[in-house]
Amino acid sequence: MRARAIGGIMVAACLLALLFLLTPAQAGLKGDAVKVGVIVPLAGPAVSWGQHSLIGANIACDEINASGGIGGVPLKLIVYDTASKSDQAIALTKKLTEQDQVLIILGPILSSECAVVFPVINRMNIVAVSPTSAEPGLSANNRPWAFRNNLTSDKTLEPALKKWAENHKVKKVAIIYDSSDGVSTGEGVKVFPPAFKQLGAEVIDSITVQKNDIDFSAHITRLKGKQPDGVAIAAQAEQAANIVREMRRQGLNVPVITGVECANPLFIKTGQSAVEGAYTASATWADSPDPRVKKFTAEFMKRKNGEKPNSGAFKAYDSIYIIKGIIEKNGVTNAPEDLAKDRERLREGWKALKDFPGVSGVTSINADGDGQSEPTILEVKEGRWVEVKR
Amino acid sequence: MSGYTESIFIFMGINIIMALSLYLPCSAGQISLAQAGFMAIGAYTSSLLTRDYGVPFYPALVLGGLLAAMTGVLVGFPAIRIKGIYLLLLTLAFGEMVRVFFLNFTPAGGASGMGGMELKTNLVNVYAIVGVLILFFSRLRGSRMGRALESMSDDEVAAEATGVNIVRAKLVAFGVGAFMAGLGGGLYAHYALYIDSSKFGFLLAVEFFVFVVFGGIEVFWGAIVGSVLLTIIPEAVRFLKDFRMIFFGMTIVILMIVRPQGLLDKQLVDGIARHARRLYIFRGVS
Amino acid sequence: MFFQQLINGLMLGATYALVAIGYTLIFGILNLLHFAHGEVFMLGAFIGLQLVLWTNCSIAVALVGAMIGAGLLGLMIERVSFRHVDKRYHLAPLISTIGVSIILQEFGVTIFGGDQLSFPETIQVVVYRFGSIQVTSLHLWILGTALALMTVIHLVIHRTKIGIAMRVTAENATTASLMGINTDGVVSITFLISSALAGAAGVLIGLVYHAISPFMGTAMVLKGFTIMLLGGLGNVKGAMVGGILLGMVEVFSVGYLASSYKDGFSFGIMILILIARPTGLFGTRLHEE
Repeated sequence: MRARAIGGIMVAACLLALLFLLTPAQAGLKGDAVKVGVIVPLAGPAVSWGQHSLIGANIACDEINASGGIGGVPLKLIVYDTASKSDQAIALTKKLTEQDQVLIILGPILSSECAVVFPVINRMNIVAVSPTSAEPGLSANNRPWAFRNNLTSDKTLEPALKKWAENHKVKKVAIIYDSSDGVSTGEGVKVFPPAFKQLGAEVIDSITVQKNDIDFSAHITRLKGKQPDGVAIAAQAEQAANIVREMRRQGLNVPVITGVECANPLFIKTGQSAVEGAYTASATWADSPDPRVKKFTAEFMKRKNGEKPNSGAFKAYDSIYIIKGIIEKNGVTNAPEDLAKDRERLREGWKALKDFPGVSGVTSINADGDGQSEPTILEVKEGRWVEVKR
Repeated sequence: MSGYTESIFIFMGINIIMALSLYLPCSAGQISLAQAGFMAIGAYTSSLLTRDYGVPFYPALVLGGLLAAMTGVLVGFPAIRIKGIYLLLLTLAFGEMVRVFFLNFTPAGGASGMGGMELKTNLVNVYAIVGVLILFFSRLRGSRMGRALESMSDDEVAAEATGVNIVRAKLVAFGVGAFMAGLGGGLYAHYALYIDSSKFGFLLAVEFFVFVVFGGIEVFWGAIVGSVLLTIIPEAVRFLKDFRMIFFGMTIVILMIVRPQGLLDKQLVDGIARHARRLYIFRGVS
Repeated sequence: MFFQQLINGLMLGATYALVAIGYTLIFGILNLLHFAHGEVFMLGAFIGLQLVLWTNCSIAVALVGAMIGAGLLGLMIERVSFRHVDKRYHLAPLISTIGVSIILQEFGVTIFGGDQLSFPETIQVVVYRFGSIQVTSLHLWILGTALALMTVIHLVIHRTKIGIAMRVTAENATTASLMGINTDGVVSITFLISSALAGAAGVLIGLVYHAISPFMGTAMVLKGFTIMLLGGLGNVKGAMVGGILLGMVEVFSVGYLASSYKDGFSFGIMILILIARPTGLFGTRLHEE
């Protein structure tokens, strides 16, 4: 009788031991840190995108480390500031890849920096994921290692343009765009005009501003003369907001739609009451009622003096979690001798990304290496970006 | 050598070439803030040639330099009668016009910039060109043209009185300087693999100007030393983070107070050369 | 629309003129291209902004505060980075001011961040309409202040002892000191006045355009030089007229031609003047006015 009990216990013990041995060795990551490189501009004109993205990434990193890291090993972000200079971006990318030996790079932020960095990472066989770049074509030209976890501006804007033109019955539209900025020029020349044509709206004037312009009196006076019933603006958030202010100041009170660079709380902060009613499109929405978004936004606001996060923060946060997921699923070992293989595993993981449920919506990566998700159409209502239902 | 260190050295080499391209007209007493514009011409031309017309790298590089040189001579003409601050402003305006031109020039990408070039620049060809330039400037000092330039920068009227062809000297200085700048541009484009007009603005021209004056405008070695130091210092003090550029600015101000002629001047360089020769002779003896 | 553009050009030009006067004054008296002047203008705007944010004061107070702050900054720049540079080396002071502009701009970014800021919307703006033409009270403020300051400067230069001292120093600094003029004092006053003007300009431009950023100074440098050239280097009256002219050119190129080439026009004009009439519209030098 006792023999059977002992035998039973021994068999159970053996079975347990077997079970334990057979469980995938997840807690088997080598090294003392999982290193992810981050390249952001923390100085220079587009600094808010860089700062927000960095904070988003830090929030993710802190959360992950608070629950034990990845495979038992803490996540470490190695952050370099490009100061919005493309030469720096190149040198720092190389530093991260060779000296710091990171597994993957988050960034760059600016499309102009991506244009310089993507060819480099493509040659060095390491993945770079930009959470913010929106200019069409950049990842497509740098396959297979370049990715952007963001919608390109044309995909983001199409539904918004349609809704705006319909809701406001816009038949004659004027376009203003920043001709010294790649993304804005792309929107002003390649996205807005064909979209409006399709919607049956006539483009009655198309004028440009330059990055450092602050006076728009001449531009608005000219537009006023042409009497548009809607104005489409493609420029950085603050400049676009000031353009709208000048419009209101001169009495041009027609509806406004902006490019994706304005899907930024900065637009409202600068424009204040003048930008009430303006439309835009974004991959993300800070005031979404989704509880995860609320939690993230709250944490972000704590870290940034009550400022709301722009889409860079959301996308960076999600990207870090996506990276974690790929590391766990694709068998990344983090051993120094496996560096090249691990980087490949991360590449395959990003390539195959489908329907990742993040705070920035459900994301997949398309064949061009760009993000694919449902963009949100936004309207400024009472000083906040509010979703416009399709 | 890691890729990171290599980048620093390549950018340093290109800066040296650009600073030397500025030194040449300066040595004739002509301050030019147009070198960034010539750099842009060289960069865009060579890139269009290699990327869209299949021209091999070195010929494209030279062609870019030549186009820049022709533009340099063009700018040289009005520059003949213009001096001092007026020349500074003329070249500044010209450089900016080049930038605005490329900003709106859609076959080369316009505001989106231009990419897709192949990586052709490396430490070898950059420093080979630097070496050739060093040889050029060393030879120049003793040559007729060199002495003509020197006399012009001291006193133009006197130089003309002694038979120096001022017009030709100025045009040559501008043209050859622009050629060098064009080479620098081509090398840059085929390393960064992406160029955009906003980079070639007057701020860049001013940067080169600072390199030359900081290192010492009297001798060509000044341009080299200035470029080397002012490229390395911002990298070396990365640990200062937010105060990095403040430190950089302070270095410049302090040097101008302490040694306004720049780090190197004729006296110093001649002194070093004399000491070097003495050492060499001694070694030979012992 | 033509008349509205005319008004636009006038207003824009007046703001340019305010900054340009500082450049031309310093060049006229000290033979120096003060690269950091744009940054003084920028910091003046920030000082005014901080005053309003902290003490909720009126525009006039912010203006005066900014002028004092910028003036002091100018004195400091002169003391620290200009006085001890050997002027026999012509380029050294220029490079020194470039170094200062780098320091000041980084300082601005570090303290104020990279975003654009604006004055709170507590300032009432009245819009005056005459038919289809429109002028705001802010614009009138700028024009008025600019004219007032320019008149004051003009009077100082031509009617006071200090002004005479400045003009003599502009003509020949050595002779001036031999005549017993405290040239060091003249230099300091020049920096003080120019910087104070720049500070005022900063606040006014910040009020109208809501685009106060650490980078606003850089944009002014080129414009300042162009206007200096247009009006005649060192000529204060020329700077005012030149500023307004530049504003007009920019506005009309946007209104009637292709706005992408607006900057190209400014530079084209610069080159034309340099080739055709380098002394500018009114001739150079303070003493030739």
